[in-house]
Amino acid sequence: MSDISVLISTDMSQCQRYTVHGVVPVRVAVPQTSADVSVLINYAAHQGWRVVAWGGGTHQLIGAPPTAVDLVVVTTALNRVLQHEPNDLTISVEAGMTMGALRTYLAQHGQMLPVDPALPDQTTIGGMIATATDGPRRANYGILRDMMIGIGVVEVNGQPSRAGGMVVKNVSGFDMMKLYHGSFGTLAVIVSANFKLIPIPPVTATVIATFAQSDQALAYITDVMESQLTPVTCELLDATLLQRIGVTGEWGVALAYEGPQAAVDRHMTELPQRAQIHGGATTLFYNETHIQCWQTIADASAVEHLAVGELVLRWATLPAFVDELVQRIGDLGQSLGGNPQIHARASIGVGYVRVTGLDANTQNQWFEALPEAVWVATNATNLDTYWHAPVGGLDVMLRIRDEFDPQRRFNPGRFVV
Amino acid sequence: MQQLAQLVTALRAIVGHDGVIDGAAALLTYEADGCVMDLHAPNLVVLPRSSSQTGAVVKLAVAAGVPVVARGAGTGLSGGATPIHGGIVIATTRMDKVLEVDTRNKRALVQPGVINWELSQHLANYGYAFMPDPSSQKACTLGGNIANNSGGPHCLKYGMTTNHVLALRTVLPNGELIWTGNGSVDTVGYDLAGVMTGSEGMFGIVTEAWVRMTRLPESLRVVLALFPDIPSASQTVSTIIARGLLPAALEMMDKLAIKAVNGMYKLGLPESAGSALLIEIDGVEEGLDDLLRDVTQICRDHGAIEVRPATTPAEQAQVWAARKNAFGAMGRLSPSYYLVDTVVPRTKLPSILAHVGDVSRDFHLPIANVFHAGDGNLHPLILFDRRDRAQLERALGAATEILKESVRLGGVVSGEHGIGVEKRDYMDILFTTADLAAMAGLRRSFDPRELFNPGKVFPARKGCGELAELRQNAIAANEIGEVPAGTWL
Ligand SMILES: Cc1cc2nc3c(=O)[nH]c(=O)nc-3n(C[C@H](O)[C@H](O)[C@H](O)COP(=O)(O)OP(=O)(O)OC[C@H]3O[C@@H](n4cnc5c(N)ncnc54)[C@H](O)[C@@H]3O)c2cc1C
Repeated sequence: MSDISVLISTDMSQCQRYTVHGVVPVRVAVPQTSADVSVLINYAAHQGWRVVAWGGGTHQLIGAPPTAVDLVVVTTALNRVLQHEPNDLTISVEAGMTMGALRTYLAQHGQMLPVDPALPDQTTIGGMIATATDGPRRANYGILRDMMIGIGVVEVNGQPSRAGGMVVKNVSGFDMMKLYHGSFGTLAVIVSANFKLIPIPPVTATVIATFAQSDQALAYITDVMESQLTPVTCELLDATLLQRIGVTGEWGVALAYEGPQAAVDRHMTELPQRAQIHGGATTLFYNETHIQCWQTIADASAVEHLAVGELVLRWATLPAFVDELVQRIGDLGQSLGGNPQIHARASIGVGYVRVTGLDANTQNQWFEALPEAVWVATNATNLDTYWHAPVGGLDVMLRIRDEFDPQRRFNPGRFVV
Repeated sequence: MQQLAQLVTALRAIVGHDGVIDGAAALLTYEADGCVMDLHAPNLVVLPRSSSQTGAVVKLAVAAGVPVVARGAGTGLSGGATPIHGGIVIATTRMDKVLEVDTRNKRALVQPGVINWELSQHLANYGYAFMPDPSSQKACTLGGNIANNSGGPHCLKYGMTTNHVLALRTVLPNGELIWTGNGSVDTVGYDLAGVMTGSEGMFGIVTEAWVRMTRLPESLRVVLALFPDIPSASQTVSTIIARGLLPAALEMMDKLAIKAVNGMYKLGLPESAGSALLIEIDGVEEGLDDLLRDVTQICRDHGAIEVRPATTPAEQAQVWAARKNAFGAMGRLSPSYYLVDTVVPRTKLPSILAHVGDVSRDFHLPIANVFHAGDGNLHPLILFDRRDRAQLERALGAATEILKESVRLGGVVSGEHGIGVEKRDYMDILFTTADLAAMAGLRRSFDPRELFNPGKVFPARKGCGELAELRQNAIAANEIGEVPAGTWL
């Protein structure tokens, strides 16, 4: 355990580096161990400091600006693998480890945690948990929520606590993992997490189908989803993103499959055939181009650095409504401007829209016109609101916040509760 | 008494005369679930037909300060639906409709009293399934599955109930009726559906749910591999997992269990076999036979004496029926059994099974094993005669031994049956006071008066209220600086 004074810095340039959505923190600390985190948070509790946890800094522009930040706790030194049981396909890692580092580590064992965030070499596991980060393979494997089997946190008074375990099936106690997942740093600082893993499949390949109209592309997606094919991704791409992966077309559908060779071959044959029925042309990617293509698509939702006037919205709807939503986004582009870029994990009804060059007022209008938005990222600090109201249960959410952070010192003002 | 009579009248005004059960004999049916260790009859049972009726019932109950316990089919094995402090049992029997099947969005809207098996049968007409398939699926309800986050053989590949719940309509302990979401995969705010799933009826009563439908696989293969003993089969399981072959299901039965199911299902399995593995793989047709060959080879490498493919759907159904009804078949061997649910890391299966063997010997009780081997989720069935007090004591002692060993091996105390009353006093073997206090904090956010299913999950000697209070005091103390840094609970 380190001495607190060694951990905390008030150096101006250091503080500026960790500016949280426009707010420069009073001090920054880089704990080396989870015990350090406890000591720091306990100290912060005594001082009444408002605290923001900082992983790779890749998601700090999501939500509202904090009302104040007395301390930023940087988790990147907590980057160790705590326990890996290759033959059990389970791992426990510290929260500051980046997804990229974890991916590299696991690849040596032929294993993977199948979530592909934007900017994997900066995005930390803790940050991904806190912000419910997703990636293209969510269509098949889900997100960390679906793979997390245990968690370690430091609560608002510095108290460490854990839940779950290192087994793949567990109902011993409540599912605290689900509580912290997507809680945007408002309940506790996540210091470690345990996951179930899967082996890296022997073969992977990609089909990109292009269409003249978005409704053709979506009809194709519906067709594939109703078939018994099991692609691991299913992304609707607009012309800009298509171009970025080196394909020309108005609308694209990107589908990856991973598994044994024979099953890959089946998908690489049948997926293009089905595309043809809907008027699509297809390109196949293997090996390096497959990997590059998917990193490009994953990076399309990056929100680490946004230009002035740039707004990114993550939305969620029912798969059947993606069509209407895509049309609406197109129409909004006409009426409000912003040159919208769209990509969607269409088979599960989640997607992103990025608009640029907008003043705060127009950003407000975009946000209001998309009640499906589950979060918004922008560096504008004066929007009317940064969250839509939850579908239900706001009162109980407020009571949860009261129980876990009664003084609202963790990420104050940033989340919906 | 008069208060009760008034409550009955008010409840009948909501659910109709026959919607309230208050006869002493009829109430006895509700004194326990499948775990008959702790019995307690409710004061009343209410059978609402809708979400709004359930909400109205809860409002009356909480106004009267009476505990409320939700009940599905009562197949739970941890005493979850047992009203240990009395009060009102809300049984979901009359909320048994599949309200909507939405293939376009791969979701179904169900009431909580729908039977798991009936839902899957219904969805099969559309080419879909609700994947969690507890062995009790012919009787258990979706509400019970959700409250317990139930598993089943196919959870190895497809995940537990929690991975198949999209949104819940719930009556909260203050009578408020909420939807946690609209069925899309992301919502704004905390993941209420996520934390409610597995909360054992302590956070709310589920009155409707959007659940995920999964497209049935194009093809599957089922094999039954017989082994001379338990270690060879459990090594096989570990190897299949470690090699990453990802079967859809990987179930194991030992000698005693084989004997029981043989008798009932005429499988003609050699009773010389020490254990059997049931392995299912699924996916598109292409590649499945290669996978099957790999699996079969691993079985042979570990000394399988016979590897039998179940080729026709009829054969496959027969093998599966034997597995899923194995517990029932135990009735042929013993008047009663205690089914212990525990999990270890999968590589620890050989050690824990050896330990179970030792416990059987030391406690002089036969123990059969039928379980979800691929997940490391054991179900030792301790066979005994309930009428014999000494045997009952030994059965409880044997269960404690097995649970302690599971934890020692890095496992936990329940994989799928829940904590309920049965396991509540094991929780502090696994968790620190602080860990439990955080759970208590979450519970209190939903139910500050602890009226929903009181007395469950938290240790009897350190209940939810006490834990939550400890935690709030610690938080408050640290923030005003009364406790020196580093002193926690
Ligand atoms: C032979 C046998 C085999 C089994 N096999 C398995 C298995 O393979 N996997 C597995 O996971 N379990 C298994 N179980 C355990 C049990 O069947 C499951 O836990 C099942 O989900 C319970 O459903 P139920 O409808 O019987 O619920 P109940 O026993 O009635 O209730 C269980 C819990 O759910 C709560 N509850 C019920 N309905 C609601 C609601 N609407 N809202 C909120 N809370 C509610 C109750 O309060 C209680 O805490 C088995 C049991 C038996 C007897």
